[in-house]
Amino acid sequence: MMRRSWISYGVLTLLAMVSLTPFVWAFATSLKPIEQAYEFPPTMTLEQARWSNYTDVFDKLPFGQFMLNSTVIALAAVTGAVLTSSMAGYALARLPLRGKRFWFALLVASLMLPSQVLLIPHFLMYEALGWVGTYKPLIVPAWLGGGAFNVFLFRQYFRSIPMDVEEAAVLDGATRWQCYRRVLMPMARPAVVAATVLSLLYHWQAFLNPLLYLSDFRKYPVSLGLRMYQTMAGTWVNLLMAASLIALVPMVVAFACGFRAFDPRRRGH
Amino acid sequence: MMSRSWRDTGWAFALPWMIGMVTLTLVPMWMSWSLSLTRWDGLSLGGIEWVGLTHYRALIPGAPSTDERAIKAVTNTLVYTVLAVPLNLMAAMGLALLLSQRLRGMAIFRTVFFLPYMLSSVATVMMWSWLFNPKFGLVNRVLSVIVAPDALPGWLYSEFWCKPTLVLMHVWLCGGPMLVFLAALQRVSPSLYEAAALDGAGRWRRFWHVTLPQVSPAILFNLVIGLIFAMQTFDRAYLLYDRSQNHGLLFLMLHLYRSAFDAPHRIGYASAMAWVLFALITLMVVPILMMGRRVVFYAVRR
Amino acid sequence: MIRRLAGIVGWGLAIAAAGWWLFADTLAHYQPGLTRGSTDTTTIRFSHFGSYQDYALWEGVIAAFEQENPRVRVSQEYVPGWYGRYDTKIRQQILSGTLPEVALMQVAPFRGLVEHFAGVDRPIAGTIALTGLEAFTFPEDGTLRGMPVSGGNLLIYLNPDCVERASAFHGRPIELPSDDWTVEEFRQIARALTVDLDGDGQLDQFGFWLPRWLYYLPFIWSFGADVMVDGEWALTGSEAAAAFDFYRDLAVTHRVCPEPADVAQLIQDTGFLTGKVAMCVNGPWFQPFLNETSLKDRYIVMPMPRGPAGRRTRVTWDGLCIADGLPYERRDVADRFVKFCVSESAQRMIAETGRALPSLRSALPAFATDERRGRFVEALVYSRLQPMLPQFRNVDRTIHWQLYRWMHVDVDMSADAFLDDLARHDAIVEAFGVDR
Repeated sequence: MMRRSWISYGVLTLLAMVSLTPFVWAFATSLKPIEQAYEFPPTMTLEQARWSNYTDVFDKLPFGQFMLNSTVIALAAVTGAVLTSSMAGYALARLPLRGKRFWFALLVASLMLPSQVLLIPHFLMYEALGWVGTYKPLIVPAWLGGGAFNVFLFRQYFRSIPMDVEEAAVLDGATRWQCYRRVLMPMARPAVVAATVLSLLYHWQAFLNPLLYLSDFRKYPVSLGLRMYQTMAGTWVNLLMAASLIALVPMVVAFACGFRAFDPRRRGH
Repeated sequence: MMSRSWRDTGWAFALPWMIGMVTLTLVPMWMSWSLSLTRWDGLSLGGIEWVGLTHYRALIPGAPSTDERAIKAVTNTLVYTVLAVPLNLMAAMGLALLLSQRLRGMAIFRTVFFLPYMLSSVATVMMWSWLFNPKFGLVNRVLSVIVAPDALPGWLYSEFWCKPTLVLMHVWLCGGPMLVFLAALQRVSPSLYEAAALDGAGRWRRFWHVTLPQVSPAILFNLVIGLIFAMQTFDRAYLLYDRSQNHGLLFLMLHLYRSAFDAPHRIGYASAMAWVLFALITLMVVPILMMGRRVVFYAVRR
Repeated sequence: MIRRLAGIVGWGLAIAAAGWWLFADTLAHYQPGLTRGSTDTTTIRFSHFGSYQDYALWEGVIAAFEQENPRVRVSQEYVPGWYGRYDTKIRQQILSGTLPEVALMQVAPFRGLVEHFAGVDRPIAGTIALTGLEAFTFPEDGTLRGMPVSGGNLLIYLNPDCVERASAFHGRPIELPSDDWTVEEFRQIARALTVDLDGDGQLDQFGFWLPRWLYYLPFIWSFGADVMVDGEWALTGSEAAAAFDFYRDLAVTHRVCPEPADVAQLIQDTGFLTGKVAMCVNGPWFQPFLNETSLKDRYIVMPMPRGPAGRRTRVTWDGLCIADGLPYERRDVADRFVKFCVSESAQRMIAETGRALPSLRSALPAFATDERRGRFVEALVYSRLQPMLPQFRNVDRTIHWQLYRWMHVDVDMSADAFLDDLARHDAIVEAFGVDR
């Protein structure tokens, strides 16, 4: 057992090093002056590191405000996405529902159509609702199913949970909602974490929709902020890397917390 | 078993999603189908001109009016998908198995392997073009120890290697499916392993007979989603296309996007391409789903 | 019982709040007076693209305008980045009838969109740069579709560190040519600047970044060739062949230009910045970028070299367009804003960024604060506009792709064969309608 765990650690460490190499590069770039940022091969030493790039990110743009905006949008959207998609997934996996085949086919079909073709119809619709310029086009769709991806994920997960756990609760007089809320959702915690994490990421990185629907600089999310380092003459790649890494921090924190759900030690039995 | 009042609770639970489905998907889908039969520059609703199936004719290989670029784009997309999806899934599964062990510090490793997935595609692409630069990149430097200088791959700049480079990138970005596998592996009850171990099953047989059936719903999910997303690859192709030779990285979504958003703005033609893409994905996904119904192990069978 | 009642009330309130959040904006959209009591200020929207530096510039211009016009507000709609996404957004706005009152547009990439704006009033003759007015005047009806506010022309940038390194390498100083240099002198200096500094058999410094995208136009023109004349494809004949031969020779015969892999993901600008290439073609917008680097006080700007047909370069203009069909009040404010942007004070703000030439002639001295900047003003005399064709982006892309293939793959093809091949390319045939 001891020997096996050492092998695992060895393999994981090796893979982690490979996986992290690009980040080392990104971090190094974020500490360079612009003329060295593109240098081949890199010649910079640690003493020359320009930490001021990180403060520049905040000086040149209201990056803190962008982070806050992204947080508001992402939290509002992810809450709705996880709630409504898990409910739909539950219905598709375990509840009596007329035309279930049809709805499932529609679910898969909606995944297969590229989102670009929905751009124009969606814009016209939100414009008719007077929602352009607000966060609603970014948040409301999440409360209407939260994306086929999540519904499919929950449907698959709920189907792998045996029926008898629910039947026992039903015999105790639980309603469907109580079954969902008290029995199945806790059992599906890993799936909830996965869906939360992936949706969070999706909304954090969304670019085209915020660009189309928002017009007020003060309402912009981080993903738009990152494009502001591109000039007609070139990209401030050092600032871009610094800003990208800063934008990564909230995600890393959120995920590190979320991932604890996967820790076997914390699993109740 | 089911009491009467429960019969239609499915509707209640699925209602928000169904509303979204109809308003946000069905209606726009119908619109895009109608548009695919027209010529339109996307500027005024009065400027729509009916052309019937003309756009679809341009997408049939071998005809005189064929858009060769589109055929090339379809081929590129298929080659990429066939290479990238299985490798990506295998990497994700391998990592998930390693990371679901009951060992200390796994939380840190999980975050580490998920990091690439969190980074914006702009930054990702930038990092990769550095690492895989044929002359100065780290990858070729390491390779030059064992490979002759002339035999070093040109990566993104070579017509042959550009797709493998993107495939490697896709493998590196396996954090998403890995997460789904990790979640599924949590459902596998330790008692099943104990029972299998008592029967004298080795590690490989335990994986084959216990783990695999238990996580098969997740495999089906990742396979279907992976295929769909790979067929719709856009961001990376958009950012890297200009480096590739002879349109080696012209994917269908990129061709579609360019047709719609570059002059002369063929919204109708782009919509037709979207439906061809839809059909191609259907041809891949439906057999998998049908097979899935027989092969995948579900606790709930309905 | 009470708990149940509280539950019902709670849910009711939550649903009411959600409903209000969802549809208050919808209500305001259709009944503006209901929610936002009438005020005596008029608000117009102004949208533009660019980097954070452009945002700051326009923020300043707007503040100055609002100070002069107390009962007017301009809400700034900034789309980060370059044309592609801005184009997408403007298109959606045209389609849904929600164009901002004033939008910054560049005719070349957006010509098809500029058509959808109303015209602007012609300024007093002679105040605004002539090519600027020409760019926004559509030949079909002669109306001025936008007010040019800022522009840029292309000149040659030279990295002094490269000259120094090459001089040291050759053991003799490389002399900079006179301002009246020719393409032949240009070629010689590009060759002298191309060196293998560490002697490992691989070139480390290249003389010139061969411009493919658009920036090739000045050279083509100075050989007397053109992409398009009177709406017809014109890259034919001996002048065009000579121009492209000059190009090919630079890359293939003299090897003064890096191959794509030599410079990795470097683009022209960063290749220049790092000293990998000694010369490149670029506009004034390169200066704010360079001014934040160690090259700041040292980079050199040269006029375009003279070719067989004289000295030529390309100029491009950004202009303000006004949405069509505005009610009188907002149209009036939009007009005032556009006029303000070509006033002395606003033009000086634009000039001072160094990013672009002001379109107002009397503000040009404010731009030409040093010799390098002065060169751009001098070059206005020999600057011309690129062909204005809706599909020009496709044409341009095709030319550069084919050029790329010619230089790196089909190296042995003659210039005439290359041009024949190019003219038959589907994008060219499609744009010009004639198969030759």
